[in-house]
Amino acid sequence: MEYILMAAAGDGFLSKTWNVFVKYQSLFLGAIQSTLLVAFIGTIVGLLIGLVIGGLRAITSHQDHNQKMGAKLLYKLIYGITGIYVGIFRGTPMMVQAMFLYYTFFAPIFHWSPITSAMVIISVNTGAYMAEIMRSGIQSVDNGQLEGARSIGMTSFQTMLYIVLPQAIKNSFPSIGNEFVVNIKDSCVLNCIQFSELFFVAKSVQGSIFSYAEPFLIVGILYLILTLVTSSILGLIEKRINHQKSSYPASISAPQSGVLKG
Amino acid sequence: MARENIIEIHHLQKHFGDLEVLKNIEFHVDKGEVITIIGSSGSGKSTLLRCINLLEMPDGGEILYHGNDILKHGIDINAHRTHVGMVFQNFNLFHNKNVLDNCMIGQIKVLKRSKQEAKEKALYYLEKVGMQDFAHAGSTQLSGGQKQRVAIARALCMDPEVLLFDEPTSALDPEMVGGILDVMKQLAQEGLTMIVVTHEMAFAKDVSNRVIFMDQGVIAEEGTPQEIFEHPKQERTKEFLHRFRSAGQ
Repeated sequence: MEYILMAAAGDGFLSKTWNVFVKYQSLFLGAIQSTLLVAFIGTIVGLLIGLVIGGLRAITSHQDHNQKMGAKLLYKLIYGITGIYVGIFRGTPMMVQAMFLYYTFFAPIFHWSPITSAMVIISVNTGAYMAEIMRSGIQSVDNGQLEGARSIGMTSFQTMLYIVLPQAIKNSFPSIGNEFVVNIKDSCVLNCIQFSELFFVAKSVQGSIFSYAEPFLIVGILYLILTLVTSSILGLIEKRINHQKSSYPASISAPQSGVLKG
Repeated sequence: MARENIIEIHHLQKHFGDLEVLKNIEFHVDKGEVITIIGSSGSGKSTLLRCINLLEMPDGGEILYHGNDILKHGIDINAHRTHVGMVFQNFNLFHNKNVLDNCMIGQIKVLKRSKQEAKEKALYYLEKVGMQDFAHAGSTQLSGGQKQRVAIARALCMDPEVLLFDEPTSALDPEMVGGILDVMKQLAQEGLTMIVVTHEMAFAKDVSNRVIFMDQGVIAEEGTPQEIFEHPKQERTKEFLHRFRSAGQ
């Protein structure tokens, strides 16, 4: 109670917070790096996992009545297995996933460091979300695009790679970017496996100065700066992606009917 | 000149669930022929067209392309599709590519042509359809008529032996229709083999060698434009044309 009053009084608390930040700045700055690194790697690897899993789920989600029995079964199997992955990793807290995987497999068997384990966990977790984002992104691409590609002889793999996925990624870019922002914040639960990101550092600082307010105000502000900057960068990229190319020849009118040289 | 048979279709059948869309279709296409398929919607004409390049898989019968049944196992469907081009009602240009890339990607990825060769060919056909000045425009920025011109160029770039048109002018503003039909007329005069599903009776009359009237999944009547439009034999052909004429007035 006293503390809140002091904080409200301003001067003393803010300068004390600043002093804490200056004293432990190398810890905080290092934590910013590891937080950003893990969030970024997690988003990129998660996107790759999502492209594969989401692509598989989009392809296998409906069975063609022309398909043979074996193909139908394979489709159902793939859809089922990928569904289990997505269900488990979206349906349980990342903190629980981290504790279980790290202390059961990563540390004792693979001897992975906390940061390696953190990257793997956040990637696999993000992958499950990305899979659903990509699945709906792929399914939102107009069927005419597929028919256009098939009609000039492209294989279904080429169609997916050159026509469908670029459009699916563009359409779901806001959701993909959002995952990055979420990862910056949610990586804080990985402090439970001794991964030294922002929250972990705040806890250590709190342990040495016996005070909660300053370190957590500091990391709160740092998180806010990271997410705001990231969001605005993503916003700029999004604008660029949607920007129409300006090579439209404005001075030339539409071709008249009957214009045909040859 | 001896007739060269490109496509021959026997006993073709297709159903969607319980609905029989194509019933025992017999049909053939000679080189250089321009065939128009007319009929009311739901008569199976688009489905027949889509079966020819296997965008729809028939349930029975055979489709012979130069004597080879393309429904047999081991036939490369994608190779077949490069020989049989398709122009769609809704254009289906690739939204993520500009006009030039729309015309190049199939040549590069499917026909394995060099970039240079693909570009030259793309520009040649874009000029042919009057779209060379739009080569670097985004495909979503164009008007419907412009999109359809590009779609025709994209199909031509693959050097198809037969070009299928699935109601190519039905999604266009009325003032754009004439331009597209002129492009198609020119292609017909140059000797391209074409099968056109259309509601443009004037085009069917003036340009095609043969008109096929489909009704309820069967070819009800076929003949020269004169036979079909001036002296239809079947009652349902007369009815259809009569309905069409009165609707057009």
